[in-house]
Amino acid sequence: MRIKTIVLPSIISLFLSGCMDIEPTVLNEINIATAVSYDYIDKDHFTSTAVIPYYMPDKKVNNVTFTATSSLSKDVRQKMNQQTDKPIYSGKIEVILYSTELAKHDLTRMTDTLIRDPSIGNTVYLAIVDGKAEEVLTKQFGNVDKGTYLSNAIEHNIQSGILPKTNLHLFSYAQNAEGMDPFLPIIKPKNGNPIITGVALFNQGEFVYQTKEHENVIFKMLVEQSSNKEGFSTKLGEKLFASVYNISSKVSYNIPEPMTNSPIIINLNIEAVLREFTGEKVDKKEIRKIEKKMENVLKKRAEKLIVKLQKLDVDPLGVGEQVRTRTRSWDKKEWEKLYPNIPFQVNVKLNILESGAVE
Amino acid sequence: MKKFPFQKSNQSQTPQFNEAIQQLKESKDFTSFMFGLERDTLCISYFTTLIDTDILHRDLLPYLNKSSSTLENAVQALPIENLLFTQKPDDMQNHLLIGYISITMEGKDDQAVLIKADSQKSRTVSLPEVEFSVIGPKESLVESLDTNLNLIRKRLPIQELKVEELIVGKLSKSRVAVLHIDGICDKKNVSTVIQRITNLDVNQIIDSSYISQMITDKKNSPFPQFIDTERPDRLAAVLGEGKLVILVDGAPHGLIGPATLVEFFTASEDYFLNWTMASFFRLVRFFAVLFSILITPIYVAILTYHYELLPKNLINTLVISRSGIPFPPILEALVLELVIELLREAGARLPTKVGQTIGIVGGIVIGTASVEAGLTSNVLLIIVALSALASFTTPVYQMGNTIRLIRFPFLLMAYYIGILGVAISFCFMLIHLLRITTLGRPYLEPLYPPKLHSLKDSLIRLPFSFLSKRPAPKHKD
Repeated sequence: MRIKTIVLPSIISLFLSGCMDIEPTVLNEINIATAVSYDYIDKDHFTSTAVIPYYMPDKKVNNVTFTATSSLSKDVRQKMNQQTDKPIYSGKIEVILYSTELAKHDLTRMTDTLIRDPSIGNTVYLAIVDGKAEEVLTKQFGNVDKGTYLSNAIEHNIQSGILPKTNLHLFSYAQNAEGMDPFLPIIKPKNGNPIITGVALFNQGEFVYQTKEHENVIFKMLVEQSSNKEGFSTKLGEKLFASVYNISSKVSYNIPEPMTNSPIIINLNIEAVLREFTGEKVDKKEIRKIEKKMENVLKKRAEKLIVKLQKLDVDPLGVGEQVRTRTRSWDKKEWEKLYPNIPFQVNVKLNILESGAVE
Repeated sequence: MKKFPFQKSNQSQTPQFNEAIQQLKESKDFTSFMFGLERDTLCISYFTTLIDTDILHRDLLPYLNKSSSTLENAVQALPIENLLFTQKPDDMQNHLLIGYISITMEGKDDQAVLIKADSQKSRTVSLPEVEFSVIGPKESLVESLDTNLNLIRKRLPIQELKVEELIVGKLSKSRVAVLHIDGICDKKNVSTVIQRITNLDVNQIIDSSYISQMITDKKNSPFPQFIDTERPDRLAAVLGEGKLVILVDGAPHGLIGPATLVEFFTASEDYFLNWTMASFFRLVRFFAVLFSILITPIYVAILTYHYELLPKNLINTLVISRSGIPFPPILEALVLELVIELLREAGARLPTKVGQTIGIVGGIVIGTASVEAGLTSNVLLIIVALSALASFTTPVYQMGNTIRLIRFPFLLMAYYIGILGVAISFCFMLIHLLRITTLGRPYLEPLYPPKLHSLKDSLIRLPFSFLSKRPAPKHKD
């Protein structure tokens, strides 16, 4: 009896495991792609480039790229496999790059396969390349594999830089949400070196606008419910500059009458540390002055940015979602008509907690 | 061989007893001689190899009444407290065989006197070697049952400590003692154990492990169901918790039952240290066991099927360590696990000093050489060595063996269907553990069935003020 209970299942699982469709993918017998780029050719076709790190016994990493052209992502892999000694697997892809030209056409078509494929994680970073996406991947630099390099670059810019939190999951969430539009980081290759320059805004799946340098910080503050670690500086007067380092910022929406033309109030509370100041002396009074001045600057920038977003008819801040959570009878079509004309009011409250170690 | 100037008795003894003595005389180490003042009336018989001749010379021969005509009178003046009168020749034979001296009187065939004179040859009580602890008592059990009982009784000087003695084994006639504290221990457990031991039909009981294998509930389970300990302090402690203890004459290990899985990971040192440290070390042990069972199978599963699970910074190291190795991960892992088992087995069979050399040869030479030769990856070498190390952290030796064994089915399942296989194996193990009972008690108690008050001394050990209640409540009967 006991022998039956142990031996029988073992034998069954031994033979039935042949029926299960799991093929071994022994780590050193496969090619692990770490980054993929897509470039636009024409309406139906694109070129895809995959980076595969070859790990050398002396701990060096050689990035080898394979390129193929097709109209479907999975076709591309087949074509790439024809060029390699080991099959290419996509389970460790860290970053997926799209060229601006491709992004100007619909990206939804491209991201569909990523969401469908269970081996691709939801925390994969998507990014737009200003120029040819392939260029970012083909040049070797440093002793790291390209995918890890790019994902580290995006990651640290999210944690303490200008980028709001972004990944495949958030992108497709924003894409599918009724009152929200997605955004992606934008990368510009300079001699093959990728430089993160800003945020690309989308209308559903279409790339429409790239944020300017002065908009990046305020965009991050507005998008993220609470963010920290970004610095910004302002001109306070003639030859008088101040730079603060943001410890925490919180956004809250005040919508007295949702789904009407009445103004929406956005409250932005910032706690910061004074980091650099070109003036003579910093005392309580001076700090109050800096706070007031900066509040004004930020308020202006924020309101200007929002007006711009309304003009472009994109809603990366998710104002629509904020409204939707406050209304019983949400109507997407009606909101789309309302959105460009709603007046926004941004109230910024800056609190400088300390002025550094200087007396 | 003959030490005494006495004439050996060849004359006809009383028929029955004489016949019994004649049977024993076929052994060379049996001595029987006639003794008396005027005429040889007393017949003294014994095994020279079993008795303490000091007792014979010092306490017996000088005090015998050589001129008396009855057996009672002859032995009246003996300074020995326990004289056994028997009418049965069988009984006499049995007692002679365990170190008694018999005295019979010629012409009187109705009875014999038996005097206990066995020589107590045993090791002195020494340091515990298997369960050594830096602090705490340093006694360990020896092969003599009486010494062991003495060690336990000294720690529990109460009348409630009951000792039941049974004789098991057709050839070995081993004395098996079952100890429990009346009023704390479940009566049902005691009767179950005594019942099972009396029902044993075996020739020889060489060690207590024989008993533990024969009376367990699930004989085919790799998991031990009796705790095996050489520490009398641990035995005394668990007696107070309501467990029962089995001691076997000739075995320097006591058995504790009913035992639960958790108790196999408790060391007596846990109670000698502060509860914070004790709890930490216990958790470390549980972690070590899980680590030891799962880490190699998970390695094989991930490398064979689930490369996606690897952190991106680890891939480089793993790919480089695997590059150029001609075997699939499962073969590599199996071979290395077998090498570790070989080393352990070789080390265990060899004397201590040679054993150390084996360790060095195995650890350094084979390990480094096989990595350099490109036969194994160094990452796997580290993993296998660590899991072997972790399996040695279990305080009870048998549990360590179990852990090393059950790793292999996990490995094979990991090879067949990856992490899913590891999960299935783990479920199998869990189901098996849930089905095991020891003396009718669930093996996973107090984890399942959950008993909150027993959890205080299971995965962690709370301070003594929390442990004033006994872990398992007394059975109502």
